Amino acid sequence: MADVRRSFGRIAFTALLLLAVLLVIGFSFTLGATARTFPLIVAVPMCLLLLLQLWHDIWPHLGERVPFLREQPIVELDLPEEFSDAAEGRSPGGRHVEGLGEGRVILWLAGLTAAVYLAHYLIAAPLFLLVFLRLQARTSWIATLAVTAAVWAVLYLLFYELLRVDYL
Amino acid sequence: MMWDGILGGLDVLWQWQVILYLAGGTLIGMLFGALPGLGGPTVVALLIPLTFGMEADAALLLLAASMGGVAFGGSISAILINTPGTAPNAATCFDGYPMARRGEANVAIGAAATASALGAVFGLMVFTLILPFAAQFLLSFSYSENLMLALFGLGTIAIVSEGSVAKGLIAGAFGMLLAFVGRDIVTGRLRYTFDSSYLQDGFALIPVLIGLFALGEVISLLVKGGSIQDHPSEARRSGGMADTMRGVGAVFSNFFLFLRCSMLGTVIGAIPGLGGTVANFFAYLHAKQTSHDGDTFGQGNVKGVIASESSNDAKDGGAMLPTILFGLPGSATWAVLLGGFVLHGVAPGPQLVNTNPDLIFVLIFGLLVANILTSILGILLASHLARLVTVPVLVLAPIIFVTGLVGAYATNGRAGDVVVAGIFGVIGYGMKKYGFPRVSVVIGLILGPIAEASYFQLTYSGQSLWSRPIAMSLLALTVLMLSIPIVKPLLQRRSG
Repeated sequence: MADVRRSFGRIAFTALLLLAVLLVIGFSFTLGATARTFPLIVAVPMCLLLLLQLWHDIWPHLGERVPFLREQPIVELDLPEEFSDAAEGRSPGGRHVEGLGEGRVILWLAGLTAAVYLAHYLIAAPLFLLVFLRLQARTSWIATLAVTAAVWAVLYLLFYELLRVDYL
Repeated sequence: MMWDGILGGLDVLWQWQVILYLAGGTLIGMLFGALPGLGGPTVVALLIPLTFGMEADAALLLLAASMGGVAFGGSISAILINTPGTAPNAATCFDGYPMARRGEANVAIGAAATASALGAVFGLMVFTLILPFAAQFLLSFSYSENLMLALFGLGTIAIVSEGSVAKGLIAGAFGMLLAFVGRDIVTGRLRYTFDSSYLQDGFALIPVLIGLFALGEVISLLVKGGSIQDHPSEARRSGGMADTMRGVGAVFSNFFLFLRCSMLGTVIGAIPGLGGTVANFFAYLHAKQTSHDGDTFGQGNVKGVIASESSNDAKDGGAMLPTILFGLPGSATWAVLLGGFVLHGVAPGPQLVNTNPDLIFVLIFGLLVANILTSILGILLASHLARLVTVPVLVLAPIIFVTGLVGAYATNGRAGDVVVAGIFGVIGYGMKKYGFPRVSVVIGLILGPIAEASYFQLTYSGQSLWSRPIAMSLLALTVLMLSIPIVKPLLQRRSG
């Protein structure tokens, strides 16, 4: 199931990139010759590469025949098995903590982005921290308030007082 | 030129604010280095907005200091609790942690601190020695060379970075297309703005960097979960200063190993896109294979710590070569640092080397002092830094989200930058998850306008590519690089 979701995500991601490039190519023809030349020099080969990539994402066994699409590092580390976790940046020690769902993380980020966009960051940031720490991280009230107050103080002193960043 | 640069760089160092920036940057770098999952690109991306309004030299010092702090910060958690702070510290765990478990934590930390500081000095010395020759070479660069350099940079990074070559090239082209949004540099007309007033100035580099590297990394951490150390007591250290000095001495008694690993780190660092992790493992495996007691590696051999730490700090000197001389970042951290250069109006490449060497030496001195300071502070604060690893990701993540988005806003005071950072956070996460190298996007974003301007200057000036040997060599190298994925399997098949 996770594999299916992952390959669907992979295809969707490549397809979105392809869509963006097609949009650029389409829009290029509304521009003058000079303005569109270089973007087209970049966008057309990119479009072809994305089509190849999409083909590889949908039918991986077919794509493996094309050397450019093969996920084979040029520099290969011949590591003993016990080192491979660390080589991939995973911690060899400690207890594994389950992650949050992708959708949920992106929703939290979108919520914060909207809050900072619409309100003053000195209001949006502590509000987000309070809600996230209490509802998602399930930290105690004392820890939540302490972290929120500390971060707010740093933002206030650093951005508002020192860098004079205000909401416009 | 060189002496002027050195004196100019030293002159900047004597100001009290600069000393504060150095100390502050080093501490912040160490902190982020010790926290698993948050490496150099994240700390530099988050710090860049804070440098807004600073002089370029002070800003670069702060950023260089944070970079200097990251590498050694990561080794502390690797040694004390078997959790590498950053990927380039991973090999330090193999011998550092077994040493800590048998009560030799201070020996390992002493060795790591010395190897880190001296490794950085070695890498920076190599860079300083090459600089005058490179400056002469760069004088011959013109439009054709700049255009071919952009192609070469994108090609190299596509080849050596994570994922397939196609993904590397797609990511680079994606970065270039982002750079074309806004005002066309030749005609001055608007393009790809879709009637948005925000896009008229194009995508601001800093929010894109914050999104790709800081927010994208944190999303990935939250989604993946991670390891949490339940037992901060593991971070307790036994032994005293005598043990630490024993670790320091171990570097000198294995000086040739240290030199070889530093050299490996510098060379690998100089290859755009390869970065510290490769240098780290190459050096570790080299040390294991060439040492007479190689079979004790992984059981707490101090040589493993020396090899790993000297190479991952020496790589910065090597990475400076392509970054400063050609604007091609040696690693993801240097790619983000290039964003800092751009924010402060500093264009790396021939112009910087020949007209503003002071800045280069400011960067060299910043890295040098930060690495030495980190090692001293690291020895003193190691236990406290290691306890940071016990802070859950769910507490750290919202803090980085908030500082990242406010930082994106602070750079230009445009609310749209917050949205751009948020969107690129999701894109950065997607790229990381599906194996598209984010470094290539930054290269494309920075080199895109240079390549376009060079292309038109070349076209209008009537300069012939064929009469430019350096440009032709770069073109040949690019073709050669891109043919590696085709040629390599053929050669492997032939050799059976």
